[in-house]
Amino acid sequence: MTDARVFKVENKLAKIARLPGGKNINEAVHSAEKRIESVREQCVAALAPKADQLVQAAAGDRAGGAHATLERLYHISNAIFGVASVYELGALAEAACSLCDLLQGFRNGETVNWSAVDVHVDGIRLLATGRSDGAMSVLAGLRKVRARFAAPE
Amino acid sequence: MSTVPFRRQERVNLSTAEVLIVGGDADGVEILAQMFAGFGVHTPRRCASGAEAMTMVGERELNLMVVDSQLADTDGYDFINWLRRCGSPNAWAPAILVTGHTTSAQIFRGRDAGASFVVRKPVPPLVMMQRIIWLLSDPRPFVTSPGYCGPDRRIRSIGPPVGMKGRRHDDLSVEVGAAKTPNLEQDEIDALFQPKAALR
Repeated sequence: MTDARVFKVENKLAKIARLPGGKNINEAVHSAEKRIESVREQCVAALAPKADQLVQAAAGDRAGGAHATLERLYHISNAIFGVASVYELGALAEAACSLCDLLQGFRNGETVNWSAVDVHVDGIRLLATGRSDGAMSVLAGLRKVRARFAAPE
Repeated sequence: MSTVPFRRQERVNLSTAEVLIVGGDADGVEILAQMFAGFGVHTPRRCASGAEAMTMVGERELNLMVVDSQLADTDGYDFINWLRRCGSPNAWAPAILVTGHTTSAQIFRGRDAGASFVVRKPVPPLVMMQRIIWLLSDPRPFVTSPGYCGPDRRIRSIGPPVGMKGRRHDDLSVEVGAAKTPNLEQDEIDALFQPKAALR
């Protein structure tokens, strides 16, 4: 016999959501899309400072404290991916995701290749400035690096 | 503009719902808060750290939690794991885990921490609304056991593996095997559907 207990719980969210009033679903979704768009400027503007944080983090300890450095880089890169993907900044989102892929492997014990990290950090900093010229060549370079170092899932 | 795959007139009233958004990145939290405000939530609550969120769980009745995988002081998986075991009535509230860079291991980790759903970024409002609508009629019971607390992780009932006995008295395998009795005649099948008509 196990100590597992299986039971029903009251769905309070459903009780509230089914009260009279509210919005129809179309209206709610469109209103949410508009509101997300309304904060585009501030969220996109925050990407360049995040890229600067990435640069600072990459300059951190690469010896004894390398694990903490990798963690910090992963968190910042993940945050950049989160915002860039919402606002369809495809190149930046892909570069940030690529760095996360790379760091994931290193965090899991693969030998850290700091050159690969540095190339990504530089690329992300360039893309976060909003300059579209050269974005494709930056991405092409990062894809090659990722293919070389990123661990298969 | 997104096309919503629901009945257009179906209404959802989230105006009084207590929704907690937890995330380590202020901009990510802002985006989610705007989304829920657009859904009609009057005041989406925000927390940056697991510690703040734990305090909120202890102080306020919450109806939905949206938790980023990265928090300021811990991660979303550990927070949901704590939530499901914290003993508060909020322990059973739906919790959606939002992940950025996502590996399959992270999805399993979120599921095993007790998340109601794991949703990968970017999360368009339409996808979030779909998950909310699903949660409104979530048929899953809750499970507490030494190794897991949270919504029943079995979405489909496919029975125990072939050749093994189930752990529950009503477990049936998806493999029914060969028939052991003669096939029913069509009249007998009809009678099962319309017993009165067949008797006439």
